[in-house]
Amino acid sequence: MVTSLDRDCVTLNSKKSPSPTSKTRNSWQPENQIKLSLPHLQTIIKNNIAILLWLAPLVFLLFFYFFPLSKILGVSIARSESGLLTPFLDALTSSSVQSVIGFTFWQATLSTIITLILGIPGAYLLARYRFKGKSLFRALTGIPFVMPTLVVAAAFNTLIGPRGWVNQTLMDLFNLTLPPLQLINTLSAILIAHVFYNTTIVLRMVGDFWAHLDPHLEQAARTLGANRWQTLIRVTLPLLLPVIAAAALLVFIFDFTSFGVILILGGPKFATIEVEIYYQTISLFNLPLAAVLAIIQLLCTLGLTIIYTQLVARFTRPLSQKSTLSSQRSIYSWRSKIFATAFILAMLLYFTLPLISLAARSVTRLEPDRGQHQISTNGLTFEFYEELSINRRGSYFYVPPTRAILTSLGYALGTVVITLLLGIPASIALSRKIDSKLNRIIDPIIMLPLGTSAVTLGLGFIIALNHPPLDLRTSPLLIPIAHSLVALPFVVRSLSPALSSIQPRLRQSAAVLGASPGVILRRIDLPLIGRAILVATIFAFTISLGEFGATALISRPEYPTIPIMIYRFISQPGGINYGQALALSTILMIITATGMLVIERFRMADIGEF
Amino acid sequence: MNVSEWQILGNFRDMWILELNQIKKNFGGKIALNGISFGVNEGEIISILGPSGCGKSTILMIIAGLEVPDEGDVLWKGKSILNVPPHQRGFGLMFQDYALFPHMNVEDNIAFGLHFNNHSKEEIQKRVSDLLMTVRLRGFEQRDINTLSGGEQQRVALARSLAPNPQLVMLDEPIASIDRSLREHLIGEIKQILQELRLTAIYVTHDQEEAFSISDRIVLMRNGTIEQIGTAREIYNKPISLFVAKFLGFSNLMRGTIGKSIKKDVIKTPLGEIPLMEEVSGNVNVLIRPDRAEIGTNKPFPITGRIVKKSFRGTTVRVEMEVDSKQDNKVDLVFEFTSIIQVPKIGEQILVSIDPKNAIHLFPE
Repeated sequence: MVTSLDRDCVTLNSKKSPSPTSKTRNSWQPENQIKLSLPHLQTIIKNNIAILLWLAPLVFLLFFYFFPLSKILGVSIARSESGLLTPFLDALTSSSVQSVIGFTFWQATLSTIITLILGIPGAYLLARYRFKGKSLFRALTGIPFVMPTLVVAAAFNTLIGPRGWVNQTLMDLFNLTLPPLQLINTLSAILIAHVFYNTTIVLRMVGDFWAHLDPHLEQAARTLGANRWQTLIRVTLPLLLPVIAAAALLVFIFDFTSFGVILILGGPKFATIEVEIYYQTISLFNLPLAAVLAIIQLLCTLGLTIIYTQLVARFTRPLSQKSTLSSQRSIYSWRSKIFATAFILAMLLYFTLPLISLAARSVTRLEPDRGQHQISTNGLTFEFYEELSINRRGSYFYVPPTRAILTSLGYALGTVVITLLLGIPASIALSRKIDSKLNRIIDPIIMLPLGTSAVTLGLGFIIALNHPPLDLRTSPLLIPIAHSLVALPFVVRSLSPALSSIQPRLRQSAAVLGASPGVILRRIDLPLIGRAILVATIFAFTISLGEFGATALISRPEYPTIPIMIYRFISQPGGINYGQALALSTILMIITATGMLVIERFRMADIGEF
Repeated sequence: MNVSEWQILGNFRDMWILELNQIKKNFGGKIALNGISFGVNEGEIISILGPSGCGKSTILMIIAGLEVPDEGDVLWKGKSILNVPPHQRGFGLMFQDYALFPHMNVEDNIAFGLHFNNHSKEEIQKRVSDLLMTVRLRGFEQRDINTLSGGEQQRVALARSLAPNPQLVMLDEPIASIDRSLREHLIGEIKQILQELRLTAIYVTHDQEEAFSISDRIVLMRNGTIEQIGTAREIYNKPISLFVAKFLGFSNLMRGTIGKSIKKDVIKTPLGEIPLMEEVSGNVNVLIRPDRAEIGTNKPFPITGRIVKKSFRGTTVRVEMEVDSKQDNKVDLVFEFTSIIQVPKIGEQILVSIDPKNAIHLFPE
């Protein structure tokens, strides 16, 4: 039932979005070749081309995902003498671990609920109405989602932190000596940042689905005697429910494994499982407990991911899809106009104000200079940016931030190369025959790292890759490899829909015109997926630049990345350090935001999961 | 009867159960409806006919209360209903795409409108099975909407819109997405059901045959305005404008000028001077009805030409002929004759004749 109607389905998750002609997709090679010098070998290659294409990505995952994970599992049970489950039971019965797990669920639940409360009305506005600046609004709402956690944490710090704009203003206005707004290191700060991050998911997933939901369904309900409320309860919400649930689950998973936000905005009082794994590894060197926690977290996210996938499969239920031309209208009544304007402005403020405040604060002097205790004049300064290249301490161990920038760029380029080398063959294999048994098994495997927390990946690297046969501790490839694990699912999800969208007819006609498979790939496929490759490249690049969780565990002290540098500066006292953290954050923010806007511009309409 | 004559009948307004009065509607600066006025009698099936994009569906949306007109009024039994929300109007609307609820089975879809009136469970079940009987889908209660064929979905949609006993049923192109071979059958069924239940109905379509076969009266629209209102026979026999003539598929159209010849008024056309039977002047478009010609010279105005094409159509035979023009180019004409009559072969000469009284319509430019 589903396959025959796939064409009309909503496919936010493009995993199951084959074009209806996918059966003929790999028939571009002439069926009967007259000259078969090595018929046997040719058949083998032809039949196994998918396996060949999958080979590199699978080997990569085997070494850098499954092997480290198995090592974590090994470490977690290594010291247990009485049964394999004992370490887990011990952990689960300890009250400190219980409170960490409890807090992880609690903050994720709260964050998800608030995200939905804010996101669903926003999705409704985006789905059902046309208004000026809508595409800009849509693009802007996409920015928080891709912002590195360190940038977001720093941004909220400049807005609502003790030295933030809000507190500065209040202190100046009322001549206070202490910041009146104490939000940093509270649950509120965590929730504010999580909602900031994830509202986009609800806006996009629910909004896109809603936009294509036939308005006639609601209108039919109205003419049949249902009032607005009854229509919402009986028709609209039941139809949206699967997509709302899927969005909520995705938001929950992200909140559940949140790391940087909790670490910086939550402070030492709060620890999620993810943060606890980090503390246990870095500060307490208690690898067995860290491993146990990682396994517990992995099981949770795995369970949630499975439910998510099931839900996504369910909301690909056949619904008559409407062009948004017919489902969207202008806002007529004054009351709706005022409500909508207020809502959109509030959202825009929420999404942009922290980032603007970060950029502004990075060029503002509010405190006396280093070593000068008199009050200096407030004003515009580029001091923090200049400071980035100066080694004031003259220390041998001091790493100039400029080196961090260069290191980060190098890692990002490495990540792009690795993910494209692995992602392109994987995407070709996926798009060739989307429903083949092989693809159905391998595709979810490729997506697995997405459901694995970054800190877990880092922990796995620490445990598994620090002695022969795979000793990569000092290899400059270690971090790009870790980043590639995180970025690969995004890259494959950007590439394979574009590849699938190439009509098999094009390949067939090229083949009939005498083009060899190689020529077809070079002249037809590659030019057509050029845009998708650009999008994938930007994804890989920005993800690598902003990655913090895994990097925090595996980066070497002398080669920090930008986020690590920001974290160091922000953890150290002093206005100059704070200022440099802001300057670096601003640089990272601008790179990421530019990348995201380019992606928005070039991505294929309505294709792709992210 | 044209629009202005219709408005003269304002004194008889009380007889309309539904009346639209000078409805205007813009969508983002684009005019969708520009002054629509017509009335519907109780128990009448009225068609709104016109090319796609002429505003037909918008009229239904406004009557149903799903769109608000920019100007004008909608009266039900003489009272304005513009402030009545759609769910309290008690009108049924069947959408072109049926808009069946995909998360409910057949029974729940049909019963949807019955939940808002304090019906008991048994009453609802009874009503659903009665309606399924009416639309000839007995035993379909538990079927999944998504597994039904187009024709079955159409009948479920009809049953659903009929379920709450609407005072007025509106059908928006109900059979447009159904195979041609099934359409005639379904149209007959819909008409029979509407008549059995003595329902007042508005039927929107772009297909004149559909409109002709189902409705008591037709409102023919063009670009947001009403071009002609009348029964099928009235509209067919006396198209009021060039647009209506073209829309009905009449093809023998040419330009002409009214002038004097000897002592009579004539229409000067490429075919020659045709006696004038109406009071018009200036330049006109001339329609020679394809269905009112005879082979031979029995009628007052003869036309000779050469047969270019002949096609047999069962009861009629359609002849395309080429006539040497009195002016410059040749004129192509099409006529239909009963197929009992012997028609000359292709390439041969043919002589036909028409009576200007009933075979010619003039549309002043």
